[in-house]
Amino acid sequence: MSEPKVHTPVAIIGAGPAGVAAAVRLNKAGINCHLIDEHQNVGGAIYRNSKRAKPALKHLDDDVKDGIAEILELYNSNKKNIEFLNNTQVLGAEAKNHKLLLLREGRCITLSYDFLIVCTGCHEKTIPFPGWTLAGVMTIGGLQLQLKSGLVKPGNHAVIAGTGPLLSLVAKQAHQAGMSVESVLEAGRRLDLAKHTKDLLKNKPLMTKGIRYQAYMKRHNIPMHWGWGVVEAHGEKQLEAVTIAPYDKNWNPDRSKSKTVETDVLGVSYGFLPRSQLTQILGVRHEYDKFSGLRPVRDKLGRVSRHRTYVAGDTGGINGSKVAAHQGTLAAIAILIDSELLSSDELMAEAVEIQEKVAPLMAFSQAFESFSATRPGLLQLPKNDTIVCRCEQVTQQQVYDAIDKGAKDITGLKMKTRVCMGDCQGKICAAYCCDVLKQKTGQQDVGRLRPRFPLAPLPIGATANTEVEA
Amino acid sequence: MRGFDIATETTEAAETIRVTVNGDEVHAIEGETVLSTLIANGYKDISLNDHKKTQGAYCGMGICHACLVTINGKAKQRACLALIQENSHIETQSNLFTTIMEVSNERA
Repeated sequence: MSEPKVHTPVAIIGAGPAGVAAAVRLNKAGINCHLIDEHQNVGGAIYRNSKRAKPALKHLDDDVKDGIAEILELYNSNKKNIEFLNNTQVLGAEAKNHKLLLLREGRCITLSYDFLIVCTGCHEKTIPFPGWTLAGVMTIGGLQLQLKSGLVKPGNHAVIAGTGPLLSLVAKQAHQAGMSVESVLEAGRRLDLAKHTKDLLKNKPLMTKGIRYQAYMKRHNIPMHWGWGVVEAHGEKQLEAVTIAPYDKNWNPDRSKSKTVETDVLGVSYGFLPRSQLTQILGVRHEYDKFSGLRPVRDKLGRVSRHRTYVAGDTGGINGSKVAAHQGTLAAIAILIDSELLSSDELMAEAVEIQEKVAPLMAFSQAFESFSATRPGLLQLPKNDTIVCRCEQVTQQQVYDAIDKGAKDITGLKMKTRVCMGDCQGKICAAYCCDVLKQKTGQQDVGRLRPRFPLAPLPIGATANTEVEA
Repeated sequence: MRGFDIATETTEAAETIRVTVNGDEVHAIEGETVLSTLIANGYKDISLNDHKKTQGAYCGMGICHACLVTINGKAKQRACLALIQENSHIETQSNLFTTIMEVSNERA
């Protein structure tokens, strides 16, 4: 199998804020890298720019546009020394050697590295509820990607539900894009967020933005309800309406006070999970964090329990894009220290300065994580016939039956029901299935889903033995 | 402009390329994903999963595999990751596995 023509010492997986920051810092020290991403451009999910040529993007505010412009500029001014493998999927990596297996232009290629930085970001956590698999129900991230990058509206109306700072941002973007935003539902209570004011103030710019978005919604009469959430989504083949209700402090809906809102788009967001499939395959030590879920254990510079391997950004714990960028720089500094190319005193001083910037940002994100942590009421949303694993169409009842029949961990549940065995390989349903197992068995540890090669779908033709230019 | 385009300064003037969806010619814009093309033209429940359930895009970023369509004869392509190209033929609600199962059940 062929390798790219140029060898570089560092492979960076993920061209979002963390990956690009790492590549830029390495370049400053004269070290080239391969930067790999499944998309066309740098930016990751958060700064996914429109691939179409330069539209005016009036519906997006300056922060997003500046973020996109900034990361493109960072890449462009360093690209001479960055080998960008775009539109490339990472299929796997061997724990024992230093090679990646990639899928590029329909062919498998290998990539050798001396040092590896994993910046694969995160994806949204799914909470199933009746009707969630109807076309028109999507994650808030999915909705936002179409608005800011696809430049299309997934429908004419929107209900936005869940928890966290993204709700009001995307509500504003949807409204500016011409959608009628019927309702924004934050499961948490305003009073609970106020308890975190001291930590929220540690990131004044982000706090100010939040206030601005709230003011925008007031100005445009977009109703926002605190302590409310989704109960059920309705429709034949596509979404037509959503039933909403007030939530108590454990996020149990009070169905006696429910209302139904007509809409063709429902955006939901209940937090994020690290995309840790690759770090798991590499055999790196992981831990359960009560907010981020399963994440690789790393030190203050991003080193993990594998030789010459580093993690930066949300893959190591959900803290947002600014922290991700700093962590990318820290991982690059760790490589410089570990390769003993430069004096470690100066590098450590640089690292400490960056860590001081990171601390207040993390206080902010952790305040929100505490506010937005999944409460047990959400686990009661599905009915018996609600699909919990959409790829394999497994219902809540089937999951309960399997647990009654003795399934004690995620592997046992998988064997009995086929949850996590479909196209998405459990990325969507595993977290929920583990939560249900924990609740039903009373056990804190219900095992882990083991990711396996290939990490992305692989056509057989891609393994044909032909030379390919990378 | 297509039904679900966001009005931007350049949308009106955007050069459209020719693609077909289920045999019908639709407008697409160079540089967008297949998913955006489908959404812009009003297609929502675009995929048929292995259990014959129709689905629409959910995560928009390649994780959920609920946006799978056939592109130029290749099945199970994630519409949110694939870039649209001139003369692409896209088939929605198309699933090779369910087709094979139907054929093999008929023969049994």
